[in-house]
Amino acid sequence: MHSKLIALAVLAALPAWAEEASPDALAVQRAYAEVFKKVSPAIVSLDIDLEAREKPKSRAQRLQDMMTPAALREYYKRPEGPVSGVIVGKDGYILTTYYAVDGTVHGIQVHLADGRTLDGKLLGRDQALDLALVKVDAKGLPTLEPADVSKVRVGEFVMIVGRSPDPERANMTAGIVSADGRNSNTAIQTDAEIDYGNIGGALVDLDGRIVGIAAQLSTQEYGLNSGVGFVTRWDCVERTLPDLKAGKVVTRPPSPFLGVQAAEGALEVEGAQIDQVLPDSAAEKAGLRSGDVIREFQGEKIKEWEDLSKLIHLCKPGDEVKLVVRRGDTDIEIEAVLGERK
Amino acid sequence: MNRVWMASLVILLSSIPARADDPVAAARGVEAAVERIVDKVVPAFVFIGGGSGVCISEDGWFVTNFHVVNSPQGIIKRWRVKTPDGNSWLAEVVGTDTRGDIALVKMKEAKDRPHVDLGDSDLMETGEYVIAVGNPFLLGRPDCRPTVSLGIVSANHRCEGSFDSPKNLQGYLDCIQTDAAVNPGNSGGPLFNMKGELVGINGSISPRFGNRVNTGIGYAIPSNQIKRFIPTLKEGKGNMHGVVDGLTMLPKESAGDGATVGRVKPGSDAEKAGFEKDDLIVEVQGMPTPTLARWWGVVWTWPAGETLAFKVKRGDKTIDVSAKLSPLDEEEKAKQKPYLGLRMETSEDGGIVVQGVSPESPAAKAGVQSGDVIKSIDGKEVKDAGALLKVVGEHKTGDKIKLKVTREGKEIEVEVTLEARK
Amino acid sequence: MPRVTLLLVSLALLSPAVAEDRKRGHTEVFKKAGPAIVGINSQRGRNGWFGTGTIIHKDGYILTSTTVVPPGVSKIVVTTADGKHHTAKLLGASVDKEASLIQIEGNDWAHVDMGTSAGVEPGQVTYTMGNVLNSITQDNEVSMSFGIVSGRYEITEAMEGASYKGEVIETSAAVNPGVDGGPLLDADGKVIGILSLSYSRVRWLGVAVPIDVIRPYVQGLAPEAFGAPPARTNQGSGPGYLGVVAADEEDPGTGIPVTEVNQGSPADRAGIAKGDRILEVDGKAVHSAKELEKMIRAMKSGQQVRLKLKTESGPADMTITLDREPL
Repeated sequence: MHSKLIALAVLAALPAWAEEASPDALAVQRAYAEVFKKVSPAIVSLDIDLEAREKPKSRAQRLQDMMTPAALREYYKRPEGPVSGVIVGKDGYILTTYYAVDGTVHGIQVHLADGRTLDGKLLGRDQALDLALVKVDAKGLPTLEPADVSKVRVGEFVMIVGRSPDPERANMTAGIVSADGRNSNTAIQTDAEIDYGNIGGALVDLDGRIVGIAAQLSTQEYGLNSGVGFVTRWDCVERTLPDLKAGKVVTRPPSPFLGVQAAEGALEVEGAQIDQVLPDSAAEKAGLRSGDVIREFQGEKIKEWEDLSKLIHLCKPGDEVKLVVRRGDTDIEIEAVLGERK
Repeated sequence: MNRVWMASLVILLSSIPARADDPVAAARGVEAAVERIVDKVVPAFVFIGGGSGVCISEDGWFVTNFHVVNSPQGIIKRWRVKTPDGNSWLAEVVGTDTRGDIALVKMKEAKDRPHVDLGDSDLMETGEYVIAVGNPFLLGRPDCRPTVSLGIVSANHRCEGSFDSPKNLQGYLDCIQTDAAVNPGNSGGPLFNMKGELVGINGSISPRFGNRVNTGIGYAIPSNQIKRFIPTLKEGKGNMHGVVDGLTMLPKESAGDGATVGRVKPGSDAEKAGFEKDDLIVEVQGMPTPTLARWWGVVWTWPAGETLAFKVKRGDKTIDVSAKLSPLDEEEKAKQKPYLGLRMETSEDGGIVVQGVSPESPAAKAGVQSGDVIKSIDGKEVKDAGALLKVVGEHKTGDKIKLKVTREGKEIEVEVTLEARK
Repeated sequence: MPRVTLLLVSLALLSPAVAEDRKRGHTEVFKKAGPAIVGINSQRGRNGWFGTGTIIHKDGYILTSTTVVPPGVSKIVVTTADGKHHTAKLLGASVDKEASLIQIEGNDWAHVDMGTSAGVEPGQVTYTMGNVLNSITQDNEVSMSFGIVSGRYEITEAMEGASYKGEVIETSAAVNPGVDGGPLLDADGKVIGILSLSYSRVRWLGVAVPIDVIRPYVQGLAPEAFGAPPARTNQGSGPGYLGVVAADEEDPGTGIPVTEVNQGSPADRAGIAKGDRILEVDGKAVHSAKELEKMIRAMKSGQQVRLKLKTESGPADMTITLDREPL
């Protein structure tokens, strides 16, 4: 009799076990809508009066610009208008992106969700993490609870909340965590759409807890809303906040650049085969050629392309480096002076 | 009695999925399912060159796109590939379906490899969740962490390619369209269903704004097509798509009821099989073919040599016809075509500048160097790469051709013995 | 024994609820709404357009956009999800609202209902469906994408051939060429907007014209199917105004030529151009400019008039809502 009861219960439950997760569309949307209501009060809009820093363009870049159709140039150019930010301290601390303040800032106006507009003062900023801290004179502002970033899993459902172009209305995109440990473990990658309207906004989980700040938008490389986007991890943000509050400015040191593109494929000879030497680069000036196989870099043996990449990154622009290169049947020594990655 | 009662209640209640009055829990249910699939399938991923691949057997057979292993100098046969566990493997391309854009590659000395099963792509329904794993923008290269994205099946059995003439069949004539984010670098990588089965290989996108990033349309080659080609791919034979010899379809706009036969060549396989002009083909291998695109889509997914079953409407009769697919001509011819092994660019002042020389290619063996400016071939002046390649195309493997090049100001003559691509 | 009964009763009560929940997944929404989505090709002279439409009533009324069926088209072919072609007639095209209403024969069509856009907020699940890159017209496949309502804002500059300016509902679901004119659907499969290829230069995401903006126009064209439109405050009982200046001709056998079209007028918005000839007004042949004026002024502002024209790309039929004479 009892066993029949158990059997009945198990039988009734079986369909639930056997079936794959079938999304209940209405439930899922209420989850998103609830997160939106919870998170949007902590998302602000910033109007930054910025004189952007002049970044000289290389000949190659200017040539490429000329060949880009007009509509696409619009795509790559940051539009005028407000940027998103996240309240990270109830006493008026707001984070946005470094890019939004890269230059001379003449003034910042912060629009809060409650309708107030306050003057903002720029404090510290960090170029590598793409963060900038702004202070407003206010108390008791809403903030978000932090997520445990170490427990983030690939496949987790996440949302990004921003507040642009309309400062009065927050926006949201949704997706999953695509990869962890990106950008020297400072970023999490997501397929939730990132664009000029939510860069600087918060990436949150289904509980509305903040996992990261949407940053490092590189339209030329990854495009807008391509499903490949990065957020600066919240634990990195927390570690950097004291410095930012103290007004510290951290610019990213220039990256060393040799100027070669890797040839694909396995090789007869171990090393990094050059497919292309980029014009105007350190490699071209040093006399490296397409087809050359780099076998040694500063005395270290090179087995594959990744080895060369790692060694170059340990250097600085301006460093003189010695390479052993196989060309045809012979090994030759080449000296190069590393350039700077633009 | 109490304990039994409690136990059965617990079993019952704990297994009922979250209901609509707890939306976050419902969403977490789907999220947990996605995370489970990710854990299961990511280990089977393969990093190869500028794209992705997926392992389908314990001993290291993996699938990728043909265009991932191809290069302007020809197919690159030997690769060093990596897997998410950090290991690297020598791998060799065994078979390529150049038109279908699939390559079958074998990792050397691999055993007990994490791998996935091929699912039934015909069962994929519009709206079903799918997961793409790949290496967009080569982000996963440094630490072997691939990218995972989630989307749905936007449509099954889409035709992304062109079929305006049998001589010009290309692209994915039957594919799964998805809105899961796929970008350059995802090519050759897997598309999974929520059972963790491989249902497609991501291969192309259709971007909206004119640059090469995803705007919600990605196309994947269906697993059912790949399954059917694996035996021939393993034998290392070249392209294997086929057509019914002697059958010409009418390119007219379909009325949604079938694909019309325009012409049947006398004495051909089509005639012998029993096709007649004006026949309306409504089904192929049990799949409805209401449009010409679907006709090509179904035929495309079967290898040459297979005998296909067709359902034909003739007047008010319905007839069953079966016919064997014969290999598309072009592929056979392409295999004997000679090549040089050069990457070239046409310079402003007329003259072809060599940008790269493929290792072990005919040009490399003859001593052509990067930086050389080619002025003439066999005494004929050539102004652009296209003209040069045309002349090469008129030769046979084994022919010797003379190139006049300018190297660092001096004019040199180079003799190249043409070979076929391997 | 009562405990057993309780268990069995709760089992019985819970199972339908569980089964109901499962019916609201994305595949279910597709099964429900997919049959109502159609591909559309339209032509006017040598120009052609393609895109998507939604059947919103069993009598074959199809809602689409003016980027798919612009005003004055002569030929409209609708491809339903089963692959069959149907000729459609144009009931009205509003460039301002970027909306067109057409109709195919039949009175038993699978359809979806117009919903409301008023309370739509970010986070809501939403779907775009349609003839993406000819998926319906070439492959017989209605294409679908899943996303959320990602924002609401004003579009002040119409992009990509679109014409609507005003508040839009933005979505993270994919919007690509061919899906314009198609529906933005909510989780219940109701139409909350009509998709446009316009976009914000800040967001570069897909947008839809809210259905609340379009509904009164649809109601005005077919009140018997969709109910009467709400009373319009800018309609009085003034005489009708079309906005063309026409000329007389010696031989009025082939209608009268339009010499000027007033900017922003109903004629302008409908696409009437200088050089077009007006042949008939509500079925009656027109012989002189004065006659045309008399006919129009005899109607009321807000009233719809059917015009038969001859344009440089061929004959055209138009249904235009008259305005009040501008002051």
